[in-house]
Amino acid sequence: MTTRGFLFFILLAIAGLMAWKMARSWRARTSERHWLPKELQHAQLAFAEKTFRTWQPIGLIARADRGYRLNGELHLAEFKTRTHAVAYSSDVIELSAQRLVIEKSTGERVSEIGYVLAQDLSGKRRSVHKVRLLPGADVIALARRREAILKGRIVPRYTSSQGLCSHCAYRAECKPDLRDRG
Amino acid sequence: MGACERFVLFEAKYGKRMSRCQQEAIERGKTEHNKFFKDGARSQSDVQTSLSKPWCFCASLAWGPEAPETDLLRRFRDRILRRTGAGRGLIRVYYSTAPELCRRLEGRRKLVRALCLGLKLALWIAKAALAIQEQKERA
Repeated sequence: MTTRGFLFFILLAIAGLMAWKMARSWRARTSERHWLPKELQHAQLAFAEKTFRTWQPIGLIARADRGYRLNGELHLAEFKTRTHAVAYSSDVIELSAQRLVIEKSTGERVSEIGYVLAQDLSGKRRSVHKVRLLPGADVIALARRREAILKGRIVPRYTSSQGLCSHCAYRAECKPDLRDRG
Repeated sequence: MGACERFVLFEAKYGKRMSRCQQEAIERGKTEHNKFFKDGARSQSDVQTSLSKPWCFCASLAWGPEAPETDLLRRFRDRILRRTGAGRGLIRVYYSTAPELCRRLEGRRKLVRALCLGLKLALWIAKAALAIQEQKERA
Protein backbone atom coordinates (compact mmCIF):
# COMPACT_ATOMS: atom_id res chain seq x y z
CA MET A 1 0.00 0.00 0.00
CA THR A 2 1.37 3.44 -0.91
CA THR A 3 1.64 6.28 1.64
CA ARG A 4 -1.23 8.07 -0.09
CA GLY A 5 -3.38 4.94 0.09
CA PHE A 6 -2.50 4.46 3.75
CA LEU A 7 -3.45 8.08 4.59
CA PHE A 8 -6.67 7.71 2.63
CA PHE A 9 -7.48 4.58 4.62
CA ILE A 10 -6.80 6.42 7.94
CA LEU A 11 -9.05 9.33 6.89
CA LEU A 12 -11.77 6.91 5.87
CA ALA A 13 -11.50 5.12 9.23
CA ILE A 14 -11.74 8.46 11.12
CA ALA A 15 -14.71 9.55 8.99
CA GLY A 16 -16.37 6.17 9.65
CA LEU A 17 -15.78 6.49 13.40
CA MET A 18 -17.19 10.04 13.46
CA ALA A 19 -20.21 8.93 11.42
CA TRP A 20 -20.78 6.02 13.81
CA LYS A 21 -20.55 8.35 16.85
CA MET A 22 -22.95 10.84 15.26
CA ALA A 23 -25.39 8.06 14.38
CA ARG A 24 -25.22 6.76 17.96
CA SER A 25 -25.82 10.22 19.37
CA TRP A 26 -28.72 10.79 16.93
CA ARG A 27 -30.22 7.41 17.88
CA ALA A 28 -29.98 8.30 21.58
CA ARG A 29 -31.64 11.69 21.00
CA THR A 30 -34.41 10.12 18.86
CA SER A 31 -35.09 7.40 21.44
CA GLU A 32 -35.42 10.16 24.07
CA ARG A 33 -38.05 11.95 21.99
CA HIS A 34 -40.12 8.76 21.72
CA TRP A 35 -40.76 8.41 25.42
CA LEU A 36 -40.54 12.01 26.69
CA PRO A 37 -43.98 13.42 27.41
CA LYS A 38 -45.19 16.27 25.15
CA GLU A 39 -44.54 18.97 27.73
CA LEU A 40 -40.84 17.97 28.00
CA GLN A 41 -40.09 17.59 24.29
CA HIS A 42 -38.22 20.93 24.24
CA ALA A 43 -36.62 20.51 27.65
CA GLN A 44 -32.89 20.09 28.01
CA LEU A 45 -31.37 17.17 29.86
CA ALA A 46 -29.66 18.86 32.81
CA PHE A 47 -28.31 15.81 34.63
CA ALA A 48 -28.35 11.99 34.61
CA GLU A 49 -27.44 9.75 37.55
CA LYS A 50 -26.34 12.71 39.65
CA THR A 51 -25.99 12.58 43.42
CA PHE A 52 -27.16 15.48 45.55
CA ARG A 53 -26.71 16.02 49.27
CA THR A 54 -28.19 18.31 51.86
CA TRP A 55 -27.75 18.60 55.60
CA GLN A 56 -30.56 21.04 56.31
CA PRO A 57 -33.15 20.61 57.72
CA ILE A 58 -32.11 16.92 57.88
CA GLY A 59 -29.29 14.94 56.30
CA LEU A 60 -30.47 13.49 53.01
CA ILE A 61 -28.72 12.10 49.97
CA ALA A 62 -30.42 11.38 46.66
CA ARG A 63 -29.37 10.25 43.22
CA ALA A 64 -31.64 11.42 40.41
CA ASP A 65 -31.98 9.30 37.28
CA ARG A 66 -32.77 12.29 35.07
CA GLY A 67 -33.44 15.99 35.47
CA TYR A 68 -34.78 18.10 32.60
CA ARG A 69 -34.63 21.88 32.55
CA LEU A 70 -37.45 23.84 30.94
CA ASN A 71 -38.21 27.55 31.43
CA GLY A 72 -35.93 27.75 34.45
CA GLU A 73 -37.56 24.81 36.23
CA LEU A 74 -36.24 21.27 36.72
CA HIS A 75 -38.43 18.24 36.02
CA LEU A 76 -37.42 14.91 37.52
CA ALA A 77 -37.79 11.50 35.91
CA GLU A 78 -37.23 8.12 37.54
CA PHE A 79 -36.55 4.98 35.49
CA LYS A 80 -37.94 1.61 36.62
CA THR A 81 -37.99 -1.86 35.12
CA ARG A 82 -41.08 -3.78 36.24
CA THR A 83 -43.70 -6.28 35.20
CA HIS A 84 -46.62 -3.87 35.53
CA ALA A 85 -46.70 -0.47 33.87
CA VAL A 86 -47.57 1.47 37.01
CA ALA A 87 -46.11 4.05 39.37
CA TYR A 88 -46.09 3.14 43.06
CA SER A 89 -46.22 5.32 46.14
CA SER A 90 -42.55 4.42 46.78
CA ASP A 91 -41.71 6.09 43.43
CA VAL A 92 -43.52 9.23 44.55
CA ILE A 93 -41.58 9.25 47.82
CA GLU A 94 -38.29 8.71 45.98
CA LEU A 95 -38.93 11.55 43.53
CA SER A 96 -40.21 13.83 46.30
CA ALA A 97 -37.02 13.24 48.32
CA GLN A 98 -34.92 14.02 45.22
CA ARG A 99 -36.89 17.21 44.73
CA LEU A 100 -36.28 18.36 48.31
CA VAL A 101 -32.56 17.55 48.21
CA ILE A 102 -32.02 19.24 44.82
CA GLU A 103 -33.91 22.39 45.84
CA LYS A 104 -31.98 22.66 49.11
CA SER A 105 -28.55 21.94 47.62
CA THR A 106 -28.75 23.92 44.36
CA GLY A 107 -31.39 26.58 45.03
CA GLU A 108 -33.05 25.64 41.73
CA ARG A 109 -36.81 25.33 41.42
CA VAL A 110 -38.02 21.74 40.90
CA SER A 111 -41.47 21.01 39.52
CA GLU A 112 -44.03 19.32 41.79
CA ILE A 113 -44.85 17.04 38.86
CA GLY A 114 -42.47 14.12 38.43
CA TYR A 115 -42.33 11.32 35.87
CA VAL A 116 -41.95 7.60 36.37
CA LEU A 117 -40.73 5.84 33.27
CA ALA A 118 -41.71 2.19 33.60
CA GLN A 119 -40.07 -0.24 31.22
CA ASP A 120 -41.34 -3.80 30.84
CA LEU A 121 -39.08 -6.79 31.39
CA SER A 122 -38.51 -7.35 27.68
CA GLY A 123 -37.10 -3.81 27.44
CA LYS A 124 -39.33 -3.06 24.45
CA ARG A 125 -42.19 -1.11 25.98
CA ARG A 126 -41.99 2.06 28.04
CA SER A 127 -44.80 3.96 29.69
CA VAL A 128 -44.58 7.36 31.31
CA HIS A 129 -46.57 8.11 34.47
CA LYS A 130 -47.03 11.64 35.72
CA VAL A 131 -47.09 11.87 39.52
CA ARG A 132 -47.67 14.73 41.92
CA LEU A 133 -44.79 14.95 44.37
CA LEU A 134 -45.10 15.35 48.12
CA PRO A 135 -44.33 18.71 49.72
CA GLY A 136 -40.94 19.03 51.45
CA ALA A 137 -42.55 18.93 54.91
CA ASP A 138 -44.06 15.50 54.16
CA VAL A 139 -40.68 14.15 53.03
CA ILE A 140 -39.07 15.40 56.22
CA ALA A 141 -41.87 13.86 58.30
CA LEU A 142 -41.33 10.51 56.54
CA ALA A 143 -37.58 10.66 57.13
CA ARG A 144 -38.17 11.41 60.80
CA ARG A 145 -40.71 8.57 61.04
CA ARG A 146 -38.14 6.21 59.51
CA GLU A 147 -35.62 7.33 62.10
CA ALA A 148 -38.15 6.76 64.89
CA ILE A 149 -38.92 3.25 63.58
CA LEU A 150 -35.22 2.37 63.49
CA LYS A 151 -34.74 3.65 67.05
CA GLY A 152 -37.73 1.60 68.24
CA ARG A 153 -39.82 4.63 69.21
CA ILE A 154 -42.67 3.79 66.79
CA VAL A 155 -44.20 0.43 65.86
CA PRO A 156 -43.91 0.03 62.07
CA ARG A 157 -47.03 -0.62 60.03
CA TYR A 158 -47.65 -3.71 57.90
CA THR A 159 -47.83 -3.25 54.16
CA SER A 160 -51.22 -3.39 52.45
CA SER A 161 -49.73 -5.22 49.46
CA GLN A 162 -50.22 -9.02 49.59
CA GLY A 163 -47.82 -9.45 46.68
CA LEU A 164 -44.99 -7.68 48.49
CA CYS A 165 -45.63 -9.69 51.63
CA SER A 166 -45.65 -13.09 49.94
CA HIS A 167 -42.24 -12.50 48.28
CA CYS A 168 -40.56 -10.79 51.21
CA ALA A 169 -37.21 -12.15 52.40
CA TYR A 170 -38.10 -11.29 56.04
CA ARG A 171 -41.41 -13.13 56.11
CA ALA A 172 -40.26 -15.59 58.76
CA GLU A 173 -39.24 -12.80 61.17
CA CYS A 174 -42.23 -10.58 60.36
CA LYS A 175 -44.94 -13.29 60.73
CA PRO A 176 -47.68 -11.35 58.85
CA ASP A 177 -50.16 -14.22 59.37
CA LEU A 178 -50.24 -13.45 63.10
CA ARG A 179 -51.45 -9.92 62.31
CA ASP A 180 -54.50 -11.34 60.49
CA ARG A 181 -55.37 -13.53 63.47
CA GLY A 182 -55.38 -10.39 65.66
CA MET B 1 -40.96 3.56 53.46
CA GLY B 2 -43.69 3.70 50.83
CA ALA B 3 -43.51 -0.06 50.32
CA CYS B 4 -43.37 -1.50 53.84
CA GLU B 5 -42.30 0.04 57.16
CA ARG B 6 -41.62 -3.37 58.74
CA PHE B 7 -39.22 -4.14 55.88
CA VAL B 8 -37.25 -1.01 56.76
CA LEU B 9 -36.90 -2.22 60.35
CA PHE B 10 -35.93 -5.80 59.48
CA GLU B 11 -33.42 -4.71 56.87
CA ALA B 12 -31.68 -2.53 59.47
CA LYS B 13 -31.86 -5.30 62.09
CA TYR B 14 -30.84 -8.34 60.02
CA GLY B 15 -28.98 -6.78 57.14
CA LYS B 16 -29.89 -6.66 53.45
CA ARG B 17 -31.52 -9.89 52.42
CA MET B 18 -33.12 -10.54 49.10
CA SER B 19 -35.17 -13.35 47.67
CA ARG B 20 -33.89 -14.90 44.44
CA CYS B 21 -36.45 -13.15 42.27
CA GLN B 22 -35.63 -9.82 43.94
CA GLN B 23 -31.91 -10.37 43.21
CA GLU B 24 -32.68 -11.13 39.57
CA ALA B 25 -34.91 -8.07 39.34
CA ILE B 26 -32.14 -5.88 40.78
CA GLU B 27 -29.52 -7.20 38.33
CA ARG B 28 -31.91 -6.65 35.43
CA GLY B 29 -32.69 -3.17 36.70
CA LYS B 30 -28.96 -2.29 36.97
CA THR B 31 -28.31 -3.34 33.36
CA GLU B 32 -31.27 -1.35 32.05
CA HIS B 33 -30.36 1.67 34.22
CA ASN B 34 -26.89 1.63 32.75
CA LYS B 35 -28.30 1.60 29.20
CA PHE B 36 -30.70 4.39 30.10
CA PHE B 37 -27.86 6.47 31.53
CA LYS B 38 -25.69 5.95 28.43
CA ASP B 39 -28.60 6.97 26.17
CA GLY B 40 -28.92 10.20 28.12
CA ALA B 41 -25.18 10.90 28.14
CA ARG B 42 -24.95 10.26 24.38
CA SER B 43 -27.97 12.42 23.55
CA GLN B 44 -26.28 15.36 25.25
CA SER B 45 -22.54 15.31 25.81
CA ASP B 46 -22.44 18.07 28.46
CA VAL B 47 -24.95 16.44 30.81
CA GLN B 48 -23.96 16.56 34.50
CA THR B 49 -23.50 13.21 36.20
CA SER B 50 -21.94 11.59 39.24
CA LEU B 51 -20.92 8.55 37.22
CA SER B 52 -17.68 8.51 35.27
CA LYS B 53 -17.95 9.56 31.66
CA PRO B 54 -15.49 8.54 28.98
CA TRP B 55 -14.34 12.15 28.61
CA CYS B 56 -12.86 14.47 31.23
CA PHE B 57 -13.12 18.20 31.74
CA CYS B 58 -10.66 20.73 33.00
CA ALA B 59 -12.26 21.66 36.32
CA SER B 60 -12.88 17.97 37.15
CA LEU B 61 -9.24 17.27 36.34
CA ALA B 62 -7.97 20.16 38.50
CA TRP B 63 -10.30 19.79 41.50
CA GLY B 64 -12.40 16.65 41.07
CA PRO B 65 -15.89 16.14 39.58
CA GLU B 66 -17.74 16.74 42.89
CA ALA B 67 -15.65 19.71 44.11
CA PRO B 68 -17.49 22.95 44.97
CA GLU B 69 -15.33 24.81 42.41
CA THR B 70 -16.42 22.43 39.64
CA ASP B 71 -20.03 22.84 40.73
CA LEU B 72 -19.74 26.64 40.67
CA LEU B 73 -18.40 26.60 37.12
CA ARG B 74 -21.28 24.30 36.08
CA ARG B 75 -23.80 26.73 37.59
CA PHE B 76 -22.10 29.58 35.74
CA ARG B 77 -22.42 27.56 32.51
CA ASP B 78 -26.11 26.72 33.11
CA ARG B 79 -27.37 30.04 34.54
CA ILE B 80 -25.24 32.57 32.65
CA LEU B 81 -23.59 31.18 29.51
CA ARG B 82 -26.51 29.10 28.22
CA ARG B 83 -28.81 32.14 28.13
CA THR B 84 -26.96 33.88 25.27
CA GLY B 85 -25.88 32.84 21.79
CA ALA B 86 -22.27 33.88 22.50
CA GLY B 87 -22.33 31.89 25.74
CA ARG B 88 -23.63 28.78 23.98
CA GLY B 89 -20.93 29.21 21.31
CA LEU B 90 -18.29 29.36 24.03
CA ILE B 91 -19.70 26.17 25.58
CA ARG B 92 -19.50 24.41 22.19
CA VAL B 93 -15.86 25.49 21.71
CA TYR B 94 -15.01 24.36 25.23
CA TYR B 95 -16.55 20.90 24.81
CA SER B 96 -14.85 20.37 21.50
CA THR B 97 -11.36 21.25 22.84
CA ALA B 98 -11.42 20.38 26.57
CA PRO B 99 -11.46 16.55 26.33
CA GLU B 100 -8.27 16.47 24.24
CA LEU B 101 -6.60 19.08 26.49
CA CYS B 102 -7.46 17.08 29.61
CA ARG B 103 -6.13 13.88 28.06
CA ARG B 104 -2.79 15.60 27.42
CA LEU B 105 -2.63 17.09 30.94
CA GLU B 106 -3.59 13.95 32.86
CA GLY B 107 -0.74 12.86 35.13
CA ARG B 108 1.31 16.05 34.51
CA ARG B 109 1.17 17.69 37.92
CA LYS B 110 2.98 20.93 37.05
CA LEU B 111 0.76 21.58 34.05
CA VAL B 112 -2.38 20.76 36.05
CA ARG B 113 -1.20 23.30 38.68
CA ALA B 114 -0.82 25.90 35.91
CA LEU B 115 -4.32 24.98 34.71
CA CYS B 116 -5.61 25.56 38.26
CA LEU B 117 -4.26 29.14 38.19
CA GLY B 118 -6.09 29.83 34.94
CA LEU B 119 -9.24 28.22 36.29
CA LYS B 120 -9.04 30.35 39.45
CA LEU B 121 -9.48 33.42 37.25
CA ALA B 122 -12.46 31.75 35.56
CA LEU B 123 -13.83 30.90 39.03
CA TRP B 124 -13.51 34.55 40.13
CA ILE B 125 -15.41 35.69 37.01
CA ALA B 126 -18.05 32.98 37.50
CA LYS B 127 -18.60 33.94 41.17
CA ALA B 128 -19.00 37.62 40.28
CA ALA B 129 -21.38 36.88 37.39
CA LEU B 130 -23.55 34.55 39.51
CA ALA B 131 -23.68 37.10 42.34
CA ILE B 132 -24.86 39.83 39.92
CA GLN B 133 -27.41 37.42 38.41
CA GLU B 134 -28.77 36.50 41.85
CA GLN B 135 -29.07 40.20 42.80
CA LYS B 136 -30.98 40.89 39.57
CA GLU B 137 -33.36 37.95 40.27
CA ARG B 138 -34.03 39.18 43.80
CA ALA B 139 -34.75 42.75 42.61
